Amino acid sequence: MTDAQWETLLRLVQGERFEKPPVGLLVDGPWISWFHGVPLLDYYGSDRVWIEANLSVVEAFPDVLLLAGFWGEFGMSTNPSAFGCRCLWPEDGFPTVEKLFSDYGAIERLKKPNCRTDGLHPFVLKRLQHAQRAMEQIGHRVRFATTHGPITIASYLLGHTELLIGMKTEPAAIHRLLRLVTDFVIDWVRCQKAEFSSVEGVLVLEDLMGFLGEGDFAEFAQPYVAAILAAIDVPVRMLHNDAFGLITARHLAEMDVNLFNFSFEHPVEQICELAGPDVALMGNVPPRDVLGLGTCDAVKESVAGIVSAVDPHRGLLVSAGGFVPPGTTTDKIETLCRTAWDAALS
Amino acid sequence: MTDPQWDALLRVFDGELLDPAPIGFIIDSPWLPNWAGMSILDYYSSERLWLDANLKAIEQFPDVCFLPGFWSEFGMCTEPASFGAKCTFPENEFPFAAPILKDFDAVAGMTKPNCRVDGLAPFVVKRLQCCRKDIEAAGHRIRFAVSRGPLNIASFLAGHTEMLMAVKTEPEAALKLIDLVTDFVIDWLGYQKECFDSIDGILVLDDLIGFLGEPDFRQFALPFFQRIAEAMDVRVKALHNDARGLVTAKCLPEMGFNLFNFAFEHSLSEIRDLAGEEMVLLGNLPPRDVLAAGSPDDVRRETRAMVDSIADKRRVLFSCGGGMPPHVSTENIAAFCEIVRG
Repeated sequence: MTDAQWETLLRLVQGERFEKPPVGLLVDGPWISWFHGVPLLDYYGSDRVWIEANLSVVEAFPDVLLLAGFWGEFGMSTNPSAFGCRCLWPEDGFPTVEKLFSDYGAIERLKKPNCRTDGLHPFVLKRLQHAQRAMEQIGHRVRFATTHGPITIASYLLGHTELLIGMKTEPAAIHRLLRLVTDFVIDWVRCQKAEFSSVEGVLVLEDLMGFLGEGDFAEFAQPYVAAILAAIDVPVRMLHNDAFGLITARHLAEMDVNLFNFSFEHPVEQICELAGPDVALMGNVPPRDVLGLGTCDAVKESVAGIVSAVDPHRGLLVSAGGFVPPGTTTDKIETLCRTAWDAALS
Repeated sequence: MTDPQWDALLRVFDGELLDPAPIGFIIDSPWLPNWAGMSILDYYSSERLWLDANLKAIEQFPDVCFLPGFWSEFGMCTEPASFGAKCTFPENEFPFAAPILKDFDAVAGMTKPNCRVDGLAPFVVKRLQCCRKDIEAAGHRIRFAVSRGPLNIASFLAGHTEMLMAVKTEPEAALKLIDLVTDFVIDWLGYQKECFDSIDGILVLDDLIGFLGEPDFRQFALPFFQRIAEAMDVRVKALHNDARGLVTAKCLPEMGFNLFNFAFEHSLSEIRDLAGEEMVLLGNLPPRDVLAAGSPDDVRRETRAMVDSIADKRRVLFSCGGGMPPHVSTENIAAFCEIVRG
């Protein structure tokens, strides 16, 4: 993100008024590699391909805030790899990991990984370090410390079903796991900030919290995410949860989130009401069915609905309701921008 | 390796006496990154830095055959990662793969990894694919499929002590583990050959076999290396074992390998006697104490003694007794080459 783009994001989370609402998109390996015309595994495996692809997207969309921006990541394998999960890299699919635990008893023996040396984390840091000069030559900087959230990471270590069942049947073990993973996440985001002085934001990706009811959310999600955001002193504290998000939205302020990327299944005005005035919203065009598979007309209709449902001049980053998927073409992104800006002006 | 270097290597296999005498060094991450001015983690994590370091080596020493040449690897993590070993990458130390087996009962539950998808293996292949054009533009080709050997990999999965103990206490489980790892190694070497049509050699690295006495070697090593060698239809079948190598040397023809890189503690003549006239020997200056820690004069003196130690220089590639160790200077390699090439 350039200095000017970052300034825009700061103004957004500070609640300032915009004549035209800013447009921001959450972009990572699947879309960037598709847009650049390279296999996803090339994108992960080659730092040359990675930097070329990221340069190509920021040059193609200079007026869009692309978050996290030059994101060093290996998909869902990034964080679980540090715990020792086996990473799988299908040529035509997203990376994933095998779960680590066969039973809850194994949680007892888990030790906190070292985020500087373990798994793919040192490769994330190196990728950004090696790319810094090329990024800065075109005016971009590393702005975000990024991480998957503790429940998401824990669900990969233990298995999704096992984690959710464990909250009911083995709550003490699950808390132990979440505490350890949270400690690791705190180390990881602090490490990124320590390595890159330009980091002034944190992005936590946590869809699994969307599977929890109110009581479980308060017990298993809120305190851990709040601990992470309290551990890093940055002005932009962003949460992504594009699963069910109504409970999340209600708790954003107490978790100290000030930018929320949420599902297209919730009307923006509903999230706005639940989140309150201190949280900027990032959303929420349906990513797959409209941005990825839809037409420009469908994008236009969706964006028009969003900007007409809330005040488009304050606290709104027009975006997708989740990550930008493959299939999202230049003309659809341009339509998204034009519609947002024209509608706000009219 | 360039086409002329590869042709020269094949002529060595044919028993031709080359003039000047051929020189070969196994080079990888313990030596290359620091020699090229970067950390080990920089070398692993950046395709560009990896390529730069390898190009620098071939440009600096155009008369040396570097084996395997443009070796894409992540140290000892390369193969164990496919089995799910947790990998640790310090900035400038060797990476480490933690054991995955808490006991040998767990071997029964293991399944063979998919070398196309699992762990770091896809990244090894991607690096070569992404750099192939640059490698070939420099006149070189990817010649070798490379893998750690089955005992070496198994010892990382189970723990070194545990693996060697199991040879005596749980031989069935140990054999099952080695068998499964061998299947993986065969897949892995075959996949590399499938990806790069220029591959006409294999390099298998297994020091752990040097820890076995002859009966154990014949039961726990020999049949598995035979399977690997038989599975690969290539002209060069290189084995590296720079631990104790006398049993290995005696069994090399049976194993199906035709090039041996061995410890400096065994003389060229001793290994020649054991391995036979047909075996190509790659050795064997002391890597750490002379090539790395010695002065250029030390290297000249010891290299001269090494060259003079064997009368028949056919099927010998002069090298060090192991891979190039850390901290070997350009001057010391030049001193080595000066003596060997005369």
